[in-house]
Amino acid sequence: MTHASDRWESALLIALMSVIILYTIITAQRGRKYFVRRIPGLNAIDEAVGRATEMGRPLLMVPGLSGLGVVGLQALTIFSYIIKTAAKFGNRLIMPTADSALYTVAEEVVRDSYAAAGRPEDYDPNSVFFLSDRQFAFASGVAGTIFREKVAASFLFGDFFAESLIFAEAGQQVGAIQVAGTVSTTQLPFFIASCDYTIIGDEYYAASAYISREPTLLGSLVGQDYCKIMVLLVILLGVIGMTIPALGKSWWFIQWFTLR
Amino acid sequence: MNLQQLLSRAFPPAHGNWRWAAIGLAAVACVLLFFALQALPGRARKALIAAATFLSGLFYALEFFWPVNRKTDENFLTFAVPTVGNVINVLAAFTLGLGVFSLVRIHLGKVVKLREGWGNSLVLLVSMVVMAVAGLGYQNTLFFRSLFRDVLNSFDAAMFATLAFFIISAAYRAFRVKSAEATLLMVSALVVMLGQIPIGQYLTHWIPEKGTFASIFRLDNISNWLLLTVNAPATRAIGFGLGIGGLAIALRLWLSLERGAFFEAKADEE
Repeated sequence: MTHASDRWESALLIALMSVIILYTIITAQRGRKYFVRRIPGLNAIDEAVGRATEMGRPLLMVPGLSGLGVVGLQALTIFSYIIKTAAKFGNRLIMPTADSALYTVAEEVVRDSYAAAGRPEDYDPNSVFFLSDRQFAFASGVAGTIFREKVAASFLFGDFFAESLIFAEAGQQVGAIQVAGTVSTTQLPFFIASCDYTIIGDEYYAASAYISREPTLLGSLVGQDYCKIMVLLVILLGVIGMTIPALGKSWWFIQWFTLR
Repeated sequence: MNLQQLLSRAFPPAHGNWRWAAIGLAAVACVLLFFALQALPGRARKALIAAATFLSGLFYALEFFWPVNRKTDENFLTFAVPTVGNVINVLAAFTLGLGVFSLVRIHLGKVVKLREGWGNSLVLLVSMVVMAVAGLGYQNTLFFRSLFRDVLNSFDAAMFATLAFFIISAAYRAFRVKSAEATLLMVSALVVMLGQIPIGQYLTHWIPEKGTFASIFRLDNISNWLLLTVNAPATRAIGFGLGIGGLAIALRLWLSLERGAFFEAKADEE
């Protein structure tokens, strides 16, 4: 079992980052304005929904193999926004899931999103469904859905593994506009090759703040950036320490962050 | 008396008929809790969910940060980690039932109403029942092994094999030279691929592997440089960003600061 006392320096960093993030959330809630740069992949969501409306074909949203964790919940937050936009135009949506726990929350989120968009009567209980928790059974189910329904837009957000390319290429073949985002760095090249827009790295976690412009989320996003600056400083100090012979490996700072 | 002893005394292990009685009582308590939650007004339910989320998160945070006994590598909460983990497993088991219900509801509806593709739905339902029966009642038989090893695993392998063709079509699109970035990508990919295969390594095998300036022009060295000096730092940087992003969203969920998607709209309406 891992404990903070195994590596106090890491635990201290986690605690410090948590304090920074909470501080920026509080300042944002108290009215401080923060700027967020443009993220093209997220701007493309409206474009994709618009295209689906013109074509009269459904939208596909796949949370990958995500379970009920931060990655899966973040995917649902992004989908929630897309559904609210799609509901206004009366688009049909399809959301297959691979995790039964996430499926139950997804169903709730989709229903609430339709209600929030003022179109609760348009909610189709069959639009969100559980397919399979086996990776390739899920992949074949989703690929089959893409080909049968000829989806107009495909949103792939969540945890993806080897099946990512099956989804993305199936979408390519039916001519769907595709927006993808994942925390699985090994799958990013596949999405970049096959999708129209790909959200890379921590843009995935920035998505909800960018879309909703909600102060709590914006504050959290700025807090994340401060934490990244802190990590960058640690790396820079490490490089300086290892470069200057007088400091070197015996310097307390290097010692502190050396894996033992 | 520590917390573990206190809890063991309060909830002694049940044996025989008492065990079944305890399971029954727990099930009844869960059903009552479910109806009590349903009866609560939206705001109160939201507060209750926030409190439960906070306490669950607090348990793991305390367990991580509280100093441990160096001999046992445990603190006063470590003993409860497996139990809390079991609670999560029980909840997941309940949701699996809901997942199966979703599948049956959609596909049974298709079969009954003879909608387009009803044959596929029928195959799915029959397969599901046969697999479940095989898994529950005939685990050590040829029937079970044939279904899982010969049928299901073969289907999985076939699906995995389609990736080879998808990779080719994706690579073709990615490596088409249509901009400066695409050219750079194509050249880098070509060098990395050549650096990994024997024929590529043979092309520059006459250059000394190390020790001379010319060594940096060996294909395998350029390939390694691209992977370790260019690719690895970029991947690590993405990893740092993701880690910090994950921490931020975990904090927001733990402290119920996340708004918009989860239960919020419903609670506010009520």
